[in-house]
Amino acid sequence: MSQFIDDDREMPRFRVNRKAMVDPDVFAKERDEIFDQVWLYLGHETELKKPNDFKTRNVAGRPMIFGRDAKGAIQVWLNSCPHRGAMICREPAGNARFMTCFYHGWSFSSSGQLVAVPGDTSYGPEFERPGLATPARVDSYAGFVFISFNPDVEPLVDYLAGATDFIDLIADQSEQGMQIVDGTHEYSVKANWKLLVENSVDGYHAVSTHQRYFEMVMASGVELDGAKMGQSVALDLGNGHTVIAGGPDTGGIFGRPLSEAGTAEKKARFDAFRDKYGDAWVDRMSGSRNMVIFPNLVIIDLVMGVVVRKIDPVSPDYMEVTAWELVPPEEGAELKRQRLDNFLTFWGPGGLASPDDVEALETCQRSFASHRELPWSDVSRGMAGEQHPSGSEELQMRTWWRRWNEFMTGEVLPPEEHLAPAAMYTAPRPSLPAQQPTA
Amino acid sequence: MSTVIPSIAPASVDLPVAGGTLTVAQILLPGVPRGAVVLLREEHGTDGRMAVLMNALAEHGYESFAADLATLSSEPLSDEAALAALGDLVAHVGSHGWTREQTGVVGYGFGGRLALLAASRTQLGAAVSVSPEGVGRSTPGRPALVDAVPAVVTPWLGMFGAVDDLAPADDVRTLAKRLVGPSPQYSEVVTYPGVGGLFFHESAEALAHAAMFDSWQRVVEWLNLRVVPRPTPYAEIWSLKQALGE
Repeated sequence: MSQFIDDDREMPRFRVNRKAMVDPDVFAKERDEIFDQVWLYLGHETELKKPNDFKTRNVAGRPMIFGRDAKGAIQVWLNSCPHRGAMICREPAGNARFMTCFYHGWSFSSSGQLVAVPGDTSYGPEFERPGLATPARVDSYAGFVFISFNPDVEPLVDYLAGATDFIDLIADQSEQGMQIVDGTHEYSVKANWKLLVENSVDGYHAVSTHQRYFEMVMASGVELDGAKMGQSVALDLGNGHTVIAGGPDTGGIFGRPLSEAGTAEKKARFDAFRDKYGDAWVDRMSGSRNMVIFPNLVIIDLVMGVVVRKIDPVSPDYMEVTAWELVPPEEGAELKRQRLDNFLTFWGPGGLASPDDVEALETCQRSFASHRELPWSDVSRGMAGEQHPSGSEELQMRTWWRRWNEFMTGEVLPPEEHLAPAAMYTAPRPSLPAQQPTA
Repeated sequence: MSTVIPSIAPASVDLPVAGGTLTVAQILLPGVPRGAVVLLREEHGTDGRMAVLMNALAEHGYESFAADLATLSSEPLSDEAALAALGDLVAHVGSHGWTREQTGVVGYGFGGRLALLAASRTQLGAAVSVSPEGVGRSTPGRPALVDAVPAVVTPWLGMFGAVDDLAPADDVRTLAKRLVGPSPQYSEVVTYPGVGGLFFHESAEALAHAAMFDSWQRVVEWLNLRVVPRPTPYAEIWSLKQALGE
């Protein structure tokens, strides 16, 4: 048995050892065995609108430059001068065809070539001029750009496995291609990064942790539909990816009510989708989804706001979080206003939900100081019985943890056996070309 | 004790261009200069200030070519006539070995207007307009820029004073909205609070001095981030080897 996971199928019970949340050796091993091996989310193509636009951000502890070159092609560079190591770019975002290292003045183009070296006659004509370094692999799916530091990593689409279905369900919500709204939410949490992974697909905590959010929604005139709220399943998407998928029309149930005009526009948009994709797929589109793409990308389509959340481990008890909102650009002003309002009210670091999550996770981390006396956290909910687990149970977390355990220990734990989920949660996408972002 | 870099006196060249002969002040540099800049003066601006700017550009490795296109005619020059002359001036810069990508254009007032018009029609390394003339107002031969410029094909920076009667804030916002989003190339509009259209001149008043200082820094940064540097002989050897697969 792994020292981290107690996967008892007899009782049944699933437990995670809290050492995984506090031990620096575990943290270092995660970097080597997980983050240096798999595909990791970098950013969305639509964040870069013009040639030579760039963003800088960290991936697996490495500073990266995510940009477009002068011809508009996506480029990804390690943000370190090949000369002596200083950061080439110290801005979070901008537009530059050339970047010059402020240490010794070496300049590089947005296509990564070394274009100028002060006093280059001292190097001689045979000197091999290094360009900017790239991660081993770069690829994208529906505008989501991933990188890997492992040259032998499997193709991205194979890695994403069943998660592609749920990315398509979001990408299909725009004829023009879903686009990231300018700006980011950036916040930090004094807790282990895996706690936010769990929290992002934890349906069980919603009513207790987010009580004040629900009270606000009800005070705004919404009658929460208990039947719909309970209509969800947890799905194992393969490779550690997992999702809570809501039933039809559950995508907006937690949000503040739409105006009459917003409701009409939303209905018209989805009616058009039904003509294109058919009812089964659009029923799935209209549902909520909380997805984790292993290890640290979260995509949640809930309360009308599609949040893309990147979780960066910094130390065993500290993480940084960057989040963006993905929207259909063709929406009218009223629907967009309400979407942004719901997004900020629920998801923002100053919203009525995320701060409660942060508080919960930070108290977990503080209490893990007693991990020797109280070593195990329980993640067993929904393990018993044949019934397929609902979203308020914990199959999704167990799915993610089994994959984590496999990377960390080599121990392969078999998937749980349950009845298949209802067909409405797995209806296939009609064979149409996938939507691509337009930027 | 500070080191004083001796200033370079610009050479004066009479250049035949469309519509007449243009007097061009130019500073050429030894070694491998970084790039070239066309400086377009305010209508009937002063030579002395241009020489200061040309020296400041030389400190950053740029050869410069300065002119006041309005001197070509005793009548107000139309956009088309001025742009034809500007085309000849850019060709003159090219005769010194500078490609268009290695050339930036920086203009003030009427010159700023021409820099924006050039950026809308020609792919250059970079363009900067400081207090460009006629943002929302037309005069004969010079339509309002908000109507005349649908998009830019050269990265363009526009800088304005917030209390400039000749560039009302609404007109500047309209121009920015029109250019920043839809243009195929990146563009940026900066407005300085509390100053008029002559903010780029030295001033003892604090806001104006800050605007002058900041705007010049932005000019240099805009050029450095976008004008393609001229390769050194060793860089050319390296490029050739790369092309030949050696």
